[in-house]
Amino acid sequence: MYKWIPLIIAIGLALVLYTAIGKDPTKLETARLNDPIPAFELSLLEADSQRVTQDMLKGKPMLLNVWATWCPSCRVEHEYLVSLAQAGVPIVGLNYKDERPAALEWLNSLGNPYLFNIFDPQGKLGFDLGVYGAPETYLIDKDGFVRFRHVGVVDSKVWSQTLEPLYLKLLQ
Amino acid sequence: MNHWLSKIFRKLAILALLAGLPLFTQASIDVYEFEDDATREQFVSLTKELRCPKCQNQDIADSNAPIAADMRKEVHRLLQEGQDREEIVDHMIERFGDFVTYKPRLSAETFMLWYGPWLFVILGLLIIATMIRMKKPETQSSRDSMSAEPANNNTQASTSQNAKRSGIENTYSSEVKKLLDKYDEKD
Repeated sequence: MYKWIPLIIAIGLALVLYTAIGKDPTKLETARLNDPIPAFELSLLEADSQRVTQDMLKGKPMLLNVWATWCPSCRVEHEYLVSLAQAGVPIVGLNYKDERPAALEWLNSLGNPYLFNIFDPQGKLGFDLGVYGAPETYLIDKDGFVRFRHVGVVDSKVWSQTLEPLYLKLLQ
Repeated sequence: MNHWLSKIFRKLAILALLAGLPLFTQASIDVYEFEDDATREQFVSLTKELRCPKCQNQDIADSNAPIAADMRKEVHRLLQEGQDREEIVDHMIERFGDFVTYKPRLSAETFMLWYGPWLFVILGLLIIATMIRMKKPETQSSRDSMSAEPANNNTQASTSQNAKRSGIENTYSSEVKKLLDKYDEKD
């Protein structure tokens, strides 16, 4: 009977190790999952004098897209975000640790998929959300709770396989 | 002569440049001020205990990633506010998850991290114990005769046969023991 013990241990170890295969270790858990968007008070990218708070992210399910002009991957996904916005998906931008003129110029030349943009030059809201690298895209429900976070570029595959099903569920 | 001088001069210039090199590499390290040494030490140990979410397997003291710099700044700010170590670590976990600390707090998910090794030790001991217990009946007699020592003779060896055997053991080699074992098993 004891001669089976090494085999049992080996199979157990193999099962444990197998569960980790294919997992991307650079993708962290979302600490804010199912939490409300942290309280903040920042200005609009479009108008310095206008205040934005967490209450402006309530009312309907939407995407919160963290972007910056210094972020190459944000440039990659921008075109797709524009097409999503044209299809009627509400997207709010969080302009993260950026400069206002550069950000406005970016929106002018590449198109603006955002309902509005939260201007976060210090990365304060980004920090409170747990942003560790742009681009990140949060799915927020109508009560302003974080329901999902995608780290990295949003493209048609990510949208149709991951984000869209969750978004449609929130719409119901 | 002139050529020789310029060679030396060039070497000196390179040396001077090399001597200045550390100044440039230190330029990226940010400077924080602390009220006392205890707070400074807390800052140093906290930034070594917190893990950079971007450049994984580097602590935030070691990392040059922007997010690590933000986290150092936040640790400093919270220390200035008078928060203690636990509050600051919780503050980071709240935002970046359990990943962010090299010493994960005890929770349902991290239970196996902390106690898994002990469970395996206990499991191993249990396996060894049952193996010994199940083996015992087969070799009972041989184990008894092997462990019989002169000091224990008075209490253990009550029968004359046992007394005789231990006396022999003291004087004869292991060959005799084996023979005795065989004799015992036949009984």
